[in-house]
Amino acid sequence: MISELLINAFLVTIMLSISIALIKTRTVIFTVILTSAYSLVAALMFITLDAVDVAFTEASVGAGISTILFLAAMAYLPKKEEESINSQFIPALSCIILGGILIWCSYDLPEIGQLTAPIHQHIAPEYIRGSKEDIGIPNIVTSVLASYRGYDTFGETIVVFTAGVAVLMLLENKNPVKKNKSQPKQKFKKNA
Amino acid sequence: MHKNPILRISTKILFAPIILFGLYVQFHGDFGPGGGFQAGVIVASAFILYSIVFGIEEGKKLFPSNINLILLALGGIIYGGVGFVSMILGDEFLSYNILGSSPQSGQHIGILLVEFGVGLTVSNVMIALFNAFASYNTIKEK
Amino acid sequence: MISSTIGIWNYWIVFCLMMIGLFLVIGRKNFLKKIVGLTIFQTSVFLLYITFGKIKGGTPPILNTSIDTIYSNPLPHVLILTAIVVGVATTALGLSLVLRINSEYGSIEEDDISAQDLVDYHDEIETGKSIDLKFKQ
Repeated sequence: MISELLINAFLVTIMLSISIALIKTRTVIFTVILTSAYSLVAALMFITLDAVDVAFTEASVGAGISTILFLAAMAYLPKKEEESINSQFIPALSCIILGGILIWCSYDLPEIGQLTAPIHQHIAPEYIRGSKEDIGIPNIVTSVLASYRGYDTFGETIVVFTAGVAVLMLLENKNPVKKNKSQPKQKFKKNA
Repeated sequence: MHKNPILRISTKILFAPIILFGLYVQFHGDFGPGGGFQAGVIVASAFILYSIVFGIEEGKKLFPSNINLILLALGGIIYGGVGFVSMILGDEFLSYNILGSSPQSGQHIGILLVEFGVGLTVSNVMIALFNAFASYNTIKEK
Repeated sequence: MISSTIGIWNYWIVFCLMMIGLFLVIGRKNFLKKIVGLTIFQTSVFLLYITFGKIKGGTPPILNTSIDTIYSNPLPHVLILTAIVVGVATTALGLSLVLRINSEYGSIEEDDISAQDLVDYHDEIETGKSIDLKFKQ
């Protein structure tokens, strides 16, 4: 049991180092590729945490399609990130304080894998029993997804549909109304 | 279009197995890991691979965008339609027990249809997103 | 002692990842980096949920024939499964907004964009175009 947790801790540490590299880099292509690697390691994490369906989804969606969309969008954008003028001290300080508070609170969370944790007491045993008797499908995740929580999944499908239609409306405008960038300067000159 | 023959031929060989794998994930989702969301993305990735290698125009010839838009809406309609059919038959919205001869077979039919609707919507949304990003024509002023 | 430290080590790293994502969103001025930060934050929240669902000695929630198997909690898996797909759809929406901002302003740096807006605002004050009209009416 301890070896499983050790693998887990190791993978999480890899994710931490990838995200630190993400803070350091200023090149857009590195950013995209590191995000893809981050998703792939997250998929491995999900396998060690027994979530095979989620790992499947993360590997195909997070590491596959998402990277392709980032690369396709990257072609129209500047390739380098500029150095910021303002200091990043205040954002970093507030993140560190908030993270410290969260870590302090983590001592109140149940330890990983405890059968007595509140989350395992409420309705999950009901679903595991019902998936065999009421529905007769071996994959509990599918039966909860499509049958017990069918309304949720309906809503999520509509959200995906709406997001797709919104992107089509934003990007398929052939002649976007352009605000001419040189216009303000011309006005300025006329006044002077 | 890519000139490299290895890329073109291996794309043509891989295209059908990827879709077959997507269908397997779609319809085997009751028994193993898988389901509509994953299958939709896998089927979409086959069409995206074709568009990357052969160019966006060839990809639109293979899968026209008006059919894409119709199927995009059809997935959600199938999902909602299953709910309304079970309502018409005299049960609650999205309650599949009444669809089959026994409650269990009704659940099987309902889950299969619903997952199919999810897969249809997700795959077509992903293809539409890629087409929209790839064929975005910006007038560069620089 | 070691076992209990490893038991909450996951939470610590997940909170660190969350804070790195938050820092990328509020500390960086590049819009693409902000969206990447949102993705990092999102994935760390997924990890937190899946970590809650783990049971020691459990198996993935797919039923098998033996009776005394312990299954991990399937409910967080369902929530996260749909959230991942919705997450990539909303990320694409954010990317398309960034593309439109780039074609309007010619830049995706927050400093450039606010500077351009400031120039526009001062022009309007100088010419007395829109603001005076509002006061007169």
